[in-house]
Amino acid sequence: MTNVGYSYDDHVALKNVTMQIEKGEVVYLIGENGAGKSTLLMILAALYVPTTGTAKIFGKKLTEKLTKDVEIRKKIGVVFQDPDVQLFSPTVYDDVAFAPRHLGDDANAEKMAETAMRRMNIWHLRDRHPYELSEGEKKRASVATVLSYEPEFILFDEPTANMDVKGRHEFARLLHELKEEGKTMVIATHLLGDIKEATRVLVMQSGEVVYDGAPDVIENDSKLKSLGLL
Amino acid sequence: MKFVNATLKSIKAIEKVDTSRSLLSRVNPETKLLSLIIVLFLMIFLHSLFALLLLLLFLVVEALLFERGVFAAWLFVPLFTGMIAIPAIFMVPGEPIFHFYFLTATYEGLRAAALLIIRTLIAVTAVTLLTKTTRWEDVIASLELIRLPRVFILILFLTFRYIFFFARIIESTLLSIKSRVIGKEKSTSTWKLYAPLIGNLFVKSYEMQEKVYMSMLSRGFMLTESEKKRDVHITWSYLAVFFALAIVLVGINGGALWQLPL
Repeated sequence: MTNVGYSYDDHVALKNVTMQIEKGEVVYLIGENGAGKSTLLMILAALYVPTTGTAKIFGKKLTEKLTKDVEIRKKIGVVFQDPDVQLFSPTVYDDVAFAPRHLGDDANAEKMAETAMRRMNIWHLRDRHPYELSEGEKKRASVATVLSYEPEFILFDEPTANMDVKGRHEFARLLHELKEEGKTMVIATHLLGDIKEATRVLVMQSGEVVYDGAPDVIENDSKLKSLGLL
Repeated sequence: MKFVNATLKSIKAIEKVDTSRSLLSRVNPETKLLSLIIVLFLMIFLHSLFALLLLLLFLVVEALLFERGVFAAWLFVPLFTGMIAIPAIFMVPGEPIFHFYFLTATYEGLRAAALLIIRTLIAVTAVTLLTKTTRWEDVIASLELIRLPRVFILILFLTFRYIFFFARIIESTLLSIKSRVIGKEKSTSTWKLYAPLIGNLFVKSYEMQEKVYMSMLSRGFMLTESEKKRDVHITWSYLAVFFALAIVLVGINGGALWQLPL
């Protein structure tokens, strides 16, 4: 993306972001609440169209039309911060099978849903109603809704929020597995302790990317320290 | 704010339908929906008072056997239907039966009132039997059986799901307000406390609707038409009872259903 900006009416959420994400990268977006992480994530997910600048997703220019392109949707998965946004079907199973059914993989929908649910250890919850689940279970179910259609590019918005210690460990293991599988991932978080799998870190402040680099040097970055981000 | 608390309580009661309690709870929702359609169909088209009374008797026996909580809903019938039915006794022209001051009750009026009350009782009993023994989400999902578009069912379910979601938000906010209020609240200050709650809820629901749509769009909602239909299971033995009942009642009714209800 080149000089990308995004505004919600009068509020500027993103300013002049220029970046490129390569296949297989695990990028962590770090920043305080309101720094613009979620907005950038929505643009990377091809759900928002930038109000200024240009963005390309899988080589195609991001336009309103592209947000509804089935082939693009098959390649991108988003795990939203609030699982209640993601779980809306009558049963957990229906929610996990939602994407394979809607993205035209009808024949394999059941198998794909079962595989994703077993991977997230929620197969036993398949007939439960999403609102009956605990917060941790909801989070695992919302991850399964994305894994079910095996997208190449997965975006996580605060994935470990509301997770207990065990849940965080399980999520770290999942990220490691997905990285091994060669998935490209972007993970928005405000917790520096979560960046073990990162191949690259972007730090955001007030809608701008103030750091873009390797994760192992981030702790010694004087600019970030001066900004109070470390 | 007793009204808000009472509403929350009734929402919770809807949410917590015990599906393991009675035999009727174990009959699948599609079958119960079909049986309800049969009952409502009979209720509309039967015009014999005796046939309608038999239908009501059948439902009463079913309720006595499986779900006695149904009768609580009967309390409202005389209140609302009675207000319409009682004037009909005196207003429908026909053969006079008795006089009440300057009003004359007629046989036709009495029959019309009886039909209205019996039909209301049938509808209330049948619908309550379904809702007391079936979870709402299952009732909504079973609507696919009558070929309602999947999008319509999904919208219904979303409405249903987020009613509970927002009810929980209201409940926890009320609890938070209660924890900070000392003594008895004055009605004016109560409204000052609760008005922002209503505003916040509106803003929250507005924000959520966009996010939910994004979440659905990201997973291909409305982009293809190939969504697989749910498997539908019918308990034919249960439904056979209703078919048999329908045949008997149509026979009592004189065979012809296609007459005006009155």
